[in-house]
Amino acid sequence: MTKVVFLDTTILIAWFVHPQPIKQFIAKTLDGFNFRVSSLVAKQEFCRRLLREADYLQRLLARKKSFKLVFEHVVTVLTNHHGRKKQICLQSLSTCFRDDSDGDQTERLSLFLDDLLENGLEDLNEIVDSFAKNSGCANGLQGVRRKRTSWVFPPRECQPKTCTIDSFLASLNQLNRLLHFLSSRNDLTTELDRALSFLRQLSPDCSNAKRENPCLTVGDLIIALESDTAGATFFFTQNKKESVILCEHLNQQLIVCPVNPDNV
Amino acid sequence: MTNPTELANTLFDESSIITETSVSSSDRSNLPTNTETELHGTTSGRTRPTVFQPKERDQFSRSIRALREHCESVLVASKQLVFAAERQDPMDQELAGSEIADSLSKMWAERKARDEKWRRGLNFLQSATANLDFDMLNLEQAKTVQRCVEILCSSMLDNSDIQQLKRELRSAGLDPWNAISGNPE
Repeated sequence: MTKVVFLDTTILIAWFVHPQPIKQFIAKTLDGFNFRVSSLVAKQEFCRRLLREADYLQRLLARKKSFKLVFEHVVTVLTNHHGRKKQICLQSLSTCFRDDSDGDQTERLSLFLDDLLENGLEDLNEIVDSFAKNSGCANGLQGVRRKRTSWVFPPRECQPKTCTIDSFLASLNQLNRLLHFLSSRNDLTTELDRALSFLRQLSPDCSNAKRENPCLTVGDLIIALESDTAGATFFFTQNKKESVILCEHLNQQLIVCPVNPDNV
Repeated sequence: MTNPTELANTLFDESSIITETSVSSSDRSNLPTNTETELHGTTSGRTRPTVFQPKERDQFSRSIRALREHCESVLVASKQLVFAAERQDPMDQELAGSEIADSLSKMWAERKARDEKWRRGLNFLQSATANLDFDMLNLEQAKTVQRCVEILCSSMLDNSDIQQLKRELRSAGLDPWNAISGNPE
């Protein structure tokens, strides 16, 4: 029997840049499955969270011309207050290549970031057998491309002319049931509260869906729906809070990858 | 197994290096006026001749020769790693591993003579083998290290070679992204 597991964005990112025990946990978990799927919305989140950070660091490197200065900047300026969770671990580079000069470490980081931007999306094909495309998320289809010396990312907002997320949502016959399910819960997180509001204001033909930029604002909901239409009976994530509720509704088994490597 | 010396010699072709003094004014306009000390690869794999000042040419030639030597050393060491793994001799594995790490380090020091793709490949291989316990590698992993070294020491690398190198490393449980992986906060 084919065991299909869905990999959400957190797993795609962790497979690249999280600590070794986490990567080993992911590899060991995936060994137990015949088929691994992800989705367009997960892909665009991967671009937005990891590849944009790589681009940001690359620009910072070009400006400061020093790994040390970039590292200091990231530690002192990019605090949690700014609301952006850092993914790429600069500490590791300074440890692995501690005997290198600042100039050498600068070049090494630049080489890593260049490859991540150029080949990161293609590398995902090693861990994902298929990306579900039912949602038609235009930003997920677009990916990242090089333009001379810089990188062009898909916009954060929905692309109204090319995106077919509204058709996808309209094709689902479970939205009402999901709406009632979420309405009956008193343990919704902020993200799921937003998902509930989104579902409530959705018109019967879902033609107003794109106005709300659903892939940006209620990504967990859309990804859950994508996983269901992809036929996944297992959902693999580091993000337990929303997934535990959505998986209950979708009758999927939740597999949680620890965030803290000490908990592996 | 390809002779390490032959393999290393195919890597670098000094005949494409041209010094400024040897270029006539009529030929000059046909050449790229690039004064960087790099050997550029094109997508077709052919090298483009680069114009150097004589002093740069000497430095470049020295780097090329040094890289050839280090390539030979690392190819031999990777072969020894496999032999040691076949005999299940952890001490010899560790010795070969040290030699590999040392040679890769020396190649990094001479990297200016190579293009960006090659440096990426070297960077990934060093990242994957940084702090690696070579004495704990099994035979398949040792063979993977050997294959990756051979990829690195082959002729011009293009993007598909880099992708293959990363795939080889990951298939053996080695991590090309090791150096930027960890707890970022």
